[in-house]
Amino acid sequence: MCVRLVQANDLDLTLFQFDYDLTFAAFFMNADRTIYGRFGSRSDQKQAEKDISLEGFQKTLAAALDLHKSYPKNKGILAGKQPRPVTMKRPEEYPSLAGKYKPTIDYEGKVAASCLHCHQVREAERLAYRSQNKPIPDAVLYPWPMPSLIGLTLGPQEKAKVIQIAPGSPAARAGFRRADEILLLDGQAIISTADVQWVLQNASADSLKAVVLRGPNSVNLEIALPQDWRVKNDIAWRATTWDLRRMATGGLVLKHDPGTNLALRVDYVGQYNEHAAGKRAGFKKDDVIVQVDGETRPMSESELFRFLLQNKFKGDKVPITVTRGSEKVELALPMQ
Amino acid sequence: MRPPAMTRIAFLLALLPVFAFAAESRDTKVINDRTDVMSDGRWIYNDFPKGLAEAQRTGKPLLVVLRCVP
Repeated sequence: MCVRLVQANDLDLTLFQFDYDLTFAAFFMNADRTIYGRFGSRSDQKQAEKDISLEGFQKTLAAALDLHKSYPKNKGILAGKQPRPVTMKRPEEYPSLAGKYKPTIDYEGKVAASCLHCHQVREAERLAYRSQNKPIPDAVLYPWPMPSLIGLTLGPQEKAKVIQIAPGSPAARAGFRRADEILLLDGQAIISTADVQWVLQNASADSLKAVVLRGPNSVNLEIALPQDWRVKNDIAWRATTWDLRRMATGGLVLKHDPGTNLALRVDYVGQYNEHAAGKRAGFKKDDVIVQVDGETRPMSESELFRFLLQNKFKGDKVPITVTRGSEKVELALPMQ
Repeated sequence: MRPPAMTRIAFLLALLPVFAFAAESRDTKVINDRTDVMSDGRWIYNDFPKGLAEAQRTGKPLLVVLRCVP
């Protein structure tokens, strides 16, 4: 049975848990709502083919059908793939979305405007924390970690086959090799990159057990997850990051200049409403942020979000030092 | 198992409307997507409970595609 959903209006969040920044995602499931697998991954705003392909989808679909054939004998390796308890069962239960959308798209009226977009679910979740002056947790700030975060690059034309391992990474230390095919991760059957992301998204221990197919043999590996591994997730490409910029940087888009000290160059200054808070505070394009509330350690824009959104709250003004040409300028960035 | 060609068609149908109507207004895209995918006859459109009921009736597995049209 093929079902196409084009709206998040009234979406069952107790079942459809996926990367809400995606514009294409797929679920494979049994009629009893048991999920066999997920498909849909992204790490770049424009180059979707970096992470998914038609060939990869085809292999994942075939693997899902194999899981269906073996069901329910294989329930054990599917248990971890099932949805987790949620606070809100429908997007419209979030305060920022309540009362704004009908259960379906209004095909006779304002069609597109009546569509609740998937990315709004993530934004609403973050807003729920922010509006209560609560720190936004890492798993919510840095959703759906790609395997590259632990040093694995998986082939987009494959289900979950390793094509590259970053030297010195957790995957390298665990003993992964090129052409390994991930069969199980954290005890879950893996049939896609999205399945690996699901495991990483929900990882709570400091290590993960993997079973890979290497040639004719299956090999057991164990990945040690370093402290704060999730924080290295680059979320700059995500649609939902736009709202993080509103909250944390007043609409500034920042680019990281690598080095031993903090150096975040202002690449864009927002112009309207709350996205112009940085502009109103005096920030200019090409300013380089070198100190934030006394911090000078190097941070990416994504890491700065964490620092600000877990330690500073609406109404706070954060002292920031920028270099502008040859001079240093002291500014105060309002938190929203 | 579903033949590979059918798999490819399913995937392309899931993606096609966005590319095919790139120049149209957002409203038109959404309306055309519904018209085109429903006329294809292989997809249950925007109705998960119906798809679930059909899967339960037939014993077939479900493929659910979430696709942002506009």
